[in-house]
Formats: sequence, C-alpha cells, structure tokens
Amino acid sequence: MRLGDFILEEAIIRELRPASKREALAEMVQHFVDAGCLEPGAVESVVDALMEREEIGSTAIGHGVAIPHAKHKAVQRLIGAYAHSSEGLEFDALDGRPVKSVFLILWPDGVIGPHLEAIAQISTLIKRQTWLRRLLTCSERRDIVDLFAEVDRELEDAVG
Amino acid sequence: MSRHKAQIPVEKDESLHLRPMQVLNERALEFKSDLTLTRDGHTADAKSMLELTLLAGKKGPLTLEGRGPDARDAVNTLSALLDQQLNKR
Repeated sequence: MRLGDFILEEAIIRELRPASKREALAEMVQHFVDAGCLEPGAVESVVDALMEREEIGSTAIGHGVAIPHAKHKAVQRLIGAYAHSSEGLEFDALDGRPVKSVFLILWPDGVIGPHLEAIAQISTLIKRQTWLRRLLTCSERRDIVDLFAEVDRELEDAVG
Repeated sequence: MSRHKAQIPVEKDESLHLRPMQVLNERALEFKSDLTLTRDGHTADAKSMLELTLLAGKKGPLTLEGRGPDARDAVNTLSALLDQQLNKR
C-alpha cells in the first residue's frame, strides 16, 4: 500500500498548534471535513473513537511518532492525515518522548484490517533515518507530499 | 548463553494489530535476551515497537526466537502472551 493512496494532501498539517492529544486529533479530523471526506457532524464521534483507542494503549510507537487510528461508520474508505508538531505533543509514549509526527488513519466500520498495511508502510518510512529527518525538517506541505511520493516510489521499486 | 525458539499458532491467519504488539514489546523489554519475531519472511526485534509495526498486516505462522541468558523463560512467557492476545479474544 502506498502512502499516497490514503494520506490526503489536504489533510497534511505542516505545523500543528500546541494542543492536548484530543485537540490535536480534532484538528486533524477537521481536515478530512475540509477535504470533503467526512461530514462535519461526524467529527466529535470520530475523535471519540480515536481517543477510545488511545485509552486502550497509546499509539505512539517511539522515535517521536504516533499512529492514532480507528474505524468509523462515517468514513467511506481508508483515509489518512499527517501533522507535524515542532514543540511535540504529550502522547503517553512508552519511551516518554513527545510526539512530533502524527499519522492518523481512519477506515470504514465493518472492514477488517486495511489500516495494518498502512501502518507497516508508515513504519518503513520512519525506520529509515534519512526519511524521518527529512520529514521533520520539511518546511512546506508540498515537501511532505514529495517525500511521501519518493518513499512510495522507492519501496515499490524495492518490491520490484 | 542459550537459544530458544517457539512457533505461535494463529487461528484464521489473524493479522497482527498494534495493541498485541505493544503488549509483547512492553514484556520483551523486561528480559535480557535478544528477542525476535518473524512472520512471512520478515524478522523484527521484539524490543523495538517500530520494528514490530513493520509486521503489521503480515500473514502466516509466527516464530519467536530468543538468544541470551533468559531465552527459554522469555520465549515461553512471550509466546503464551501472544497466543492469548491473538487467539483467545
């Protein structure tokens, strides 16, 4: 699965305002509305679903990265958002580090596991130091989109 | 230094979700031995949450391997934990 298949360009936030975990997730979900992929009335309920998952255990995976995710009936297909926080968000990470990169994933209720391949693709990006460093220093949304496209191309070539 | 290996049966070819991997990761960190989890030809360090997430969505049998002073204890404990997380929900 390619990052470009599910991360919406309109839902890439170059700099997230300093916020609590819930506020950060709400801002990201709002971008799905702005992109026309979610009804405005569903925002609160989607954020609730994401927070419920966080309560089971933080989705921060270390290296300053978190992958909050949830299924929801208001979503028609697998969609993703990305947000960067220079200051870092308190995300209850196991390693205690603040989170500077948030990948948020939503998928339709009743569909099992489409987010897992998405998580694996994100992890592949994070694992390569040079890509993670570039992600953290991108100054424009366009640069982030270009980086995702480069990651997708390179991983596709690697698979053959 | 001992080496120990176990295969964890997975009902219905269950995918690895993030939460069971987090539970595994937290417990793996308590052991001294090197611990790896392998699925579908991909091997991850069980002490690295990032590496474990690379196995998300992979299918097939799961193999847990430990190398170190407490390898047997670690593999027995963690394979039971994984089995419980994946097959008895």
